[in-house]
Amino acid sequence: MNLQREYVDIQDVVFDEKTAVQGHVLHLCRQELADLVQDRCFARVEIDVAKPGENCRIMSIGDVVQPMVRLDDEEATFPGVVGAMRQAGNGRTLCLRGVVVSEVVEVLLNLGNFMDFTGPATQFSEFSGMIHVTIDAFPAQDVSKDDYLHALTVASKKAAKYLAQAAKDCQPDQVETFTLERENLEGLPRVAYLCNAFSHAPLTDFTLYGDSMQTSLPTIVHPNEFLDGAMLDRDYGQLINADPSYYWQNQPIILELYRRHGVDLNFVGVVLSNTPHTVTDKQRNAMIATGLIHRVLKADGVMITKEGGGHPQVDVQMDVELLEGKYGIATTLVLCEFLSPNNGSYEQVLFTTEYANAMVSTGCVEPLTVGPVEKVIGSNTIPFYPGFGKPGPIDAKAGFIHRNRSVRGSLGQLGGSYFTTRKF
Amino acid sequence: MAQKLRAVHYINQFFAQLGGEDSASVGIQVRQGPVGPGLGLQKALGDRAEIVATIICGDNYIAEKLDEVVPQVLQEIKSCAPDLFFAGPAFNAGRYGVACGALCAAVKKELGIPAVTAMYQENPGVELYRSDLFILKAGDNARTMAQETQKMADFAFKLRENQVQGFPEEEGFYERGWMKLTRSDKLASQRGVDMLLAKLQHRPFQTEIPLPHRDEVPRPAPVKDLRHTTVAFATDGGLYPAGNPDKMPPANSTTFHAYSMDGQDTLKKEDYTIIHNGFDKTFLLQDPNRIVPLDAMRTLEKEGKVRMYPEFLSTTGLTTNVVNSQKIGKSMAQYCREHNIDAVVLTST
Amino acid sequence: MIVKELERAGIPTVQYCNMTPVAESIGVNRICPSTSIKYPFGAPDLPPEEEKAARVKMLERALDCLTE
Repeated sequence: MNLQREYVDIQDVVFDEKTAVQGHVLHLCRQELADLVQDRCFARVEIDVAKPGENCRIMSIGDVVQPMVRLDDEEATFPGVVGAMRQAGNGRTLCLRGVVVSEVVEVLLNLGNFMDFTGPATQFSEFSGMIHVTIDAFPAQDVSKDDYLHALTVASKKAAKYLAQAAKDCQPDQVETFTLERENLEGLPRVAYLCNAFSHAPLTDFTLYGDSMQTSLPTIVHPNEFLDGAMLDRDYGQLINADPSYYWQNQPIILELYRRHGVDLNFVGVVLSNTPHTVTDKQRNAMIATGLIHRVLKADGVMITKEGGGHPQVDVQMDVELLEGKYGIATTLVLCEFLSPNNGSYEQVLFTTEYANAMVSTGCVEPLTVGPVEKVIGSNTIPFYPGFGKPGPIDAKAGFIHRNRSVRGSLGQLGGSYFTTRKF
Repeated sequence: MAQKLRAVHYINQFFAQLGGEDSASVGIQVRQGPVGPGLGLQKALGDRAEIVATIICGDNYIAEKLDEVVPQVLQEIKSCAPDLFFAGPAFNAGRYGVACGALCAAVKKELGIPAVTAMYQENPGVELYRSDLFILKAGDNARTMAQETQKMADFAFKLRENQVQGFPEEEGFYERGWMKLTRSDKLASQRGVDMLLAKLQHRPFQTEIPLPHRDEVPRPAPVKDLRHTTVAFATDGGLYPAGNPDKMPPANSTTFHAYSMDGQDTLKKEDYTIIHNGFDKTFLLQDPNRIVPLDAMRTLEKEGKVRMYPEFLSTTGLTTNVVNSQKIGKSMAQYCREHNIDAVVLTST
Repeated sequence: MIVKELERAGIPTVQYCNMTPVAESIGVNRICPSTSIKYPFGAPDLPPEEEKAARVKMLERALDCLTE
């Protein structure tokens, strides 16, 4: 498997009559894009753009997707979601950098995210430094919330592919090649990645080639499949606990392991597992996943991440106890300390296995006050979070108090966070 | 020339040179200007502030009736209209440390001015008050008095200018007890792989997240005979009467409420709701007996197998912090004692 | 956490929950595993009468924990 990602950097987005990338500017025909993503579940779709530094806020932001198209097999871009069911991870794929597609969710969700382009919220997310092409879709009459969200999650992938296609004739600014086949790997420590995804119900899940993994057992996947759009976010039930698609397309652990492959480690592969909601299912998954890591990947050490909230920490505890306790394999966990800010330093995790002695934090929750803005994209609002600010409706334009974690893409559990914590 | 700030200093009977243990029961005394170690503190403050009053109290007098005496001392402090408050340093004197902590906490809360104290790490005042205020590290005896008073003076001005930026090791205070967000120049993914390689290669590494301490609680004596036991149901799944009359939050609850099931044989779905953001509520909304099993309990009651307390206790246990969980638990325990509840079945989702 | 406070007051308490490893981690003394997070005392796949009978059995199990 050999994936060549070609990057075209976009520095500005302007509306135009035809969609094309010229120089490093994306010219966007709004109507064509709106027509492309229109669905019977939408009354209408509004396309807009938000740029870094603008006095602008996106409210109730859903998935964030990197524009991407598989150059050797365009039809199979985002396989299983908008593309044909063909294997990803091999061949040439074009990605736009500096611009992303963002969904604006016009139904009320339990936990909401937002995005600012100026002010104190920007430090928490890489996305505030990117241009967002927003798909603001309004539900049609009598359409169920689920049908609307199913249509929205597809709309953003269609849009992501469409934008990338506009750069097909451009000279890439950078090319990166991803392959596990390499010389001189002997003697390097064998490192695997155990990726615990969260799929509990349709639309509160993550998809692998469009499949929810809700009932699937752990499986070995190739790291290139992440980097080529086979793994995508579809979680609207607990947005803040799920990394958006951008971080699956640019999986931080996988990129880091690839960076060091052949340098100071031998990246032997990835096991992908769901974190189910019963103890028996968790035990089964941990047993199978760790068995694959030990017997098939023959790893010496494992990086472990999880998505979701509290109970996936139980899966992680089981993984660690088996890997370290049974197989003698070293583990390091990446976790977000979301039980803060009011919990003590020693109450940040829900487990006490002595083997979990190597944990990296992606940051902790702190209150965040954001001020008024001139422009708001999205007519919806997000619920206030109990314990942060006064109870009551949130006024997107006037500013409000929320959590740093409610900024889309902040403190990501997949490891794409510059934040950490210290005992205070 | 800037106005000199007004400071008040609290010391115990020993440092006021009124005597040792024999004078530990002296009541509250107020003197003008600095007294005893206050002289050194005044020197450390220099021109920045003036100690306008020193409040003295016997360690026993205050420690025995903390709830009564602290407000009385606070009144004296208030009447001096201070900009800064200092207590101690208490070194390793336990009652003194507790008094200093309690007074600083009260001053911080009521007056909102910088309130500074210092004590030795084993002083019980540290554990009790470290999360309420900054407590500076100090030695275990008065040999280091001059250094401690200098540190206290300087820290007070840092507090006043909101300049306490650093972490415990840098600023010289005891860990407040929580994690604070800080930025690294490396992504978590990179730090993670660095840490894994260090662990694999037996090189030293430092975990970023500490593991919890386990708090052992003795197992309460088992119920001898269920037939003569009054069992109450409790839940943290957020089951409340329809319309959520007590306006319980969907996360971070700080209280519980008791709801009557008198005269009911089953929990009807129209009468109840679930306020909780952490799980799929569909099944419980269809039939609340799935979380508080009233219908099953009535069956067992009729068969004489057990007695049921006619109310269920409910709260929402989602990201509720430990301190609040303990508070809720303690108040539930008290409720049980007051209402002669012998045992509890607590359902969590 | 709530259970620990009840236990600390000497009240025999059973925590009826799904994520038993979490309760074990914090040292709860009496833990009784439930069927699911979504329906602790439930069996929604069964017809109502059978579900209620199943619930009585689950409850008996939980109550028995109190006597141990």
